[in-house]
Amino acid sequence: MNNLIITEDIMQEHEVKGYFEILRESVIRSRLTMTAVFFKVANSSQGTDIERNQVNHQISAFLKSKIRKTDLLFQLADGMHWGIFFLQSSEVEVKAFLKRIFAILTQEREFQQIELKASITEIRNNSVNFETLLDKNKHKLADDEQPTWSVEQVTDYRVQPTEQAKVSIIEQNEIFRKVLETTLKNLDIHHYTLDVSTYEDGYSFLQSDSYKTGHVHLVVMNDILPRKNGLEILHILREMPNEKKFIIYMMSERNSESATLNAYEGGVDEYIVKPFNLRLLEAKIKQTFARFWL
Amino acid sequence: MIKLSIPLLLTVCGVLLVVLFLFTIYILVQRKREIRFADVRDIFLQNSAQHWYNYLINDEIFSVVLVPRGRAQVAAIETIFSSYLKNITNEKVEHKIKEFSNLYLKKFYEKDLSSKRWSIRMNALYRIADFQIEALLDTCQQFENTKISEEEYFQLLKIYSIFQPELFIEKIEESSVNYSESEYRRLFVLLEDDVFIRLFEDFNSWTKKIQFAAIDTAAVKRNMQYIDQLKQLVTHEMPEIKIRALKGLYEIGVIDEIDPYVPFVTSDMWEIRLMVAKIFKHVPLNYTYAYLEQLLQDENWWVRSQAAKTIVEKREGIAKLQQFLESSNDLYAIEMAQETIVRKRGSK
Amino acid sequence: MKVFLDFCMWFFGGFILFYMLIVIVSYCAMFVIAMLAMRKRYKLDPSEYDDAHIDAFYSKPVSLLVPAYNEEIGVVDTVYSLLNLRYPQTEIIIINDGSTDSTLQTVIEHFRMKPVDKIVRTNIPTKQVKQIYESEIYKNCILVDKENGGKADALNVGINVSQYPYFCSIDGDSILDEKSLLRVMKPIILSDGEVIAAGGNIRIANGAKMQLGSVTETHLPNNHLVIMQIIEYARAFLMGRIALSKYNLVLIISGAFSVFSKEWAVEAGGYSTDIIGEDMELVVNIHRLIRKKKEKKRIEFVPDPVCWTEAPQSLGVLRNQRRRWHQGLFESLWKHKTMTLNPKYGLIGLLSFPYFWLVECLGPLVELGGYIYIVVAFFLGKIYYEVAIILLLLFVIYGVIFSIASILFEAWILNTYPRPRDLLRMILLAFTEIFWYRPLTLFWRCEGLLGFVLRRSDWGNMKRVGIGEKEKSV
Repeated sequence: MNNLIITEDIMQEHEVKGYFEILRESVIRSRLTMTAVFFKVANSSQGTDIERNQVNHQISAFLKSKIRKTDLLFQLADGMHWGIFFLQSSEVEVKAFLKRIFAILTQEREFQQIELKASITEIRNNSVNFETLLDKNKHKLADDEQPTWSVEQVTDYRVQPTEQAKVSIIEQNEIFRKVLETTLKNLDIHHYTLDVSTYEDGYSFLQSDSYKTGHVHLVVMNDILPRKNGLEILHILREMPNEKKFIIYMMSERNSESATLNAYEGGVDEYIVKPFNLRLLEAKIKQTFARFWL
Repeated sequence: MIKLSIPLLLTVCGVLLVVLFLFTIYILVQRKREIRFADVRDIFLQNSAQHWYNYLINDEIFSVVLVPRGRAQVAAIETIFSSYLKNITNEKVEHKIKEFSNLYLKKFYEKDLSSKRWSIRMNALYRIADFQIEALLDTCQQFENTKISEEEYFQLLKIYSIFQPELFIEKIEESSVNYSESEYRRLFVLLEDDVFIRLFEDFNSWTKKIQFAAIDTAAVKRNMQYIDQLKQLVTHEMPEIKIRALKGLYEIGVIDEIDPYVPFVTSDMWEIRLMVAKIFKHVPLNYTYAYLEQLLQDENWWVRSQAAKTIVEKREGIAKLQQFLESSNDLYAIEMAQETIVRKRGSK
Repeated sequence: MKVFLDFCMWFFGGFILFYMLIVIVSYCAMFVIAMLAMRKRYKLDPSEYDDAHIDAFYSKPVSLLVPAYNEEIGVVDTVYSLLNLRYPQTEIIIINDGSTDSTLQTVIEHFRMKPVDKIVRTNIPTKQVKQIYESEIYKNCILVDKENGGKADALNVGINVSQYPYFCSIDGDSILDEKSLLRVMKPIILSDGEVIAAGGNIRIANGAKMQLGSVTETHLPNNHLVIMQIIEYARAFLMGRIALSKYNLVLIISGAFSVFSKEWAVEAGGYSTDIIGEDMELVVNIHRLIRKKKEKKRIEFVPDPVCWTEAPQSLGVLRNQRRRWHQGLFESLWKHKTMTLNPKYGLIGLLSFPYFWLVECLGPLVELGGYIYIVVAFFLGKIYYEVAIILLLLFVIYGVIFSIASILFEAWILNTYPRPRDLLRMILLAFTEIFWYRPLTLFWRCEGLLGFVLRRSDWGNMKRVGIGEKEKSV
């Protein structure tokens, strides 16, 4: 093992650790899933050192040719494992990638010496550190009885952290405000806890300062409101530096084309004409939150 | 002539002051009663709001708490129901409100209908339509035979149109009252499609106002069914009907052929030319450009302006207008084209 | 000499008494008509009707014109209240009439106005428009910057810029109730355009809690002068507007809040720039046009749409306002004097004009004469006591009783000031009316008459005071 020559032109385990920590944090911040894949040579016991060396080179070169520019390929210190971090990709995409390259490897004659198996880890939280990630994957691939081209999975880190999201309802009609509040409080959105507050006019919402925190913030409001109406609030929120955190739903009695266009041009995510279907609203909100995580 | 004397005037003053004094007391007592009424209403509103939510939205079982005792509680329920109906569409909720109103609110409105006050009768009629209290249909029909005002009759028509479209059409035919267009529209827009189509079938037998209202309603309903009807009316002899039908077609926004509209480009009436310029918004520019260029040089400001707008909205519109600028020598048209281009660019 | 004085006293006494009786009878008649019309609506649920008309399908689009001359404090709130109107299709056009304060900057900053190129049709010739701006926040909100030319000229520019078939003029320091536009448009929509202009009811905002264009609570203000004006507004509303409107006799709809059909207003020549009471002038011109074209059109006063406006709090400002109004009224009536008793103009000529001449315009002169008569009579001795006392009693009926009746009736139907305390305060204050408020306003109005007779050439100066002063016609 000691005299294995490590391929020079790809990144090595010790170099990647720092990157990994940055990537892991950005997963949380940008809500973009990252998926790690580890490969192991399935027929490592066969052949001579030189042959193995050649195969290793070939594997490195092959993998390098297949990844995207945003993906990070590296070789582990033991020389028998390779890892790739696929940024902004979920397990599904990575599985498709594996299927594609495995097909190439099995079909093309030039690669007939390469036999691989892989394990996939989808990462949506930051409770994982580099060493454990490596250990877990190595462990998954340690079993020599595993068939070649098999794909294992580490599922420990796929659950995104539960995040707090703010919900502000700004509606003048007291009864309907209460209806919306109850409905949204009971809304079960995966991985989010909703912190619902209600306001009867635009001014009291702006006074509350609750919109200044960094949380994801769903604002459900009427277009016409006493003391600062909906369009102005929309404008204020969309002018803020981190305006992307706001999901803005505007409700309106005005069913005219121009009013709708105005609202969308001003930056609402949904324009809902009253009366509307509550269930549909719930579904829309769920869908909006679901889209937040890749 | 009555002699104007001090005692007489003093008596008049005195009597008037006493009357006003009594009126003041009446108003103050009335105020007190209103405040008490509002208190009862608000308490009921507070206490039952959650129950109503659970019953209407969460499908929980009906609770006796919800049954109103007295007027004030009815007023609270009215507020709750109209808030739900105004903001939410949900068949189940509507059905439950209907069911509840027919059971528990019916007797209140029945009594209101025989009230001496016009305003109270009107309120009752509004609610019967809003909450769909079908159980009062017979009462309404009896009510129609009493001496009622035009406004009340209008509300009755609305109620008939919801519960008994047949009767509604009948009443409209025989009705001696002449409502305004916007009132007819308010009635027609509530009609089911099949009833509305029937209304359209004997189009020529209706009065002008009904015809106009029917065309406008057809446009608003945006139903493909009505396009053919409107297309036929485009060749109607009355210009007003022509214009409205064109407007309706523009609003529906589905133009499958331009041949029927081409003759209107040279119509004598600028309103018709204007409508054509609008309709061409819904057709690709290469079919319509020749006509639009003609309209761009129209003698009427509105037609020119609309033609320019229609062209510039299209993808290759600005280029076409610029091409036009180079070749044309119609000053008015050039000015319009220039301004429209500037404005379009400014808005980007 | 004594004989002559006797004759004068009897003659004037008789004349004033006769006049007062006529006025009282006509007010009574109008009060009864108003009562019958309003009583019907007691307890009617207005929300039903309002909601039915919020859809663009039923209503007609309206351009809202806000002329502003040195209104940096009020205009932002006014525009906020317009933005919150429950009405499907409106555009807001603020016209800066060459203000010398920072009205322009305030509006530009507040609503993120950006200069735009806009094609304007000149329907009515006006002063030069400098620049048109459009709000980045509200696409339907436009600011027009123009050279100073007075309120009428500013409104004409607004009419030229507007794109909708109806326009509504709102003073740059008033606040509209969210449903007011819907309600003032109601007669226009329901009549299929037979009603071509409609005016709304004005209420005094002093004492009401207001913030960012919304009225949250209404209390009676503490200032007695303002309370007297509130009573006066209620009177004018019940004994005048409603009855006149019923028979299409309205000559004045307040410029602070009124809607006109653009087509008719333009044909009538828009607002006249050379006259003080431009709102009355337009209404009279439209009436003329209606008669000329022999069309069946109406101008209506709508009792409930609410426009809140600030009333003068000091005697000085109030005096200016009343002098101006009265001079304006006289001027307009004089300009159209040929319509008086002219059967060609139907009831407008036969009833409206004589009424405005006798009761509204020259009334103050006679009434003030009455006050002087009472004073003189008491000095002259007991033979005139009887006439003086009769006259005094008539003043009581005319001043006190009518006022209290109006307060009570208003309270019963509209309930503007819900607290019983407020109601009682108003009634008590009404008793004092004939001793101070009435003579004062009479005197000011007579000053206005005098102003018309003497200071014709001075109008220019008056006009430049412009809309900055807190003035609304009742």
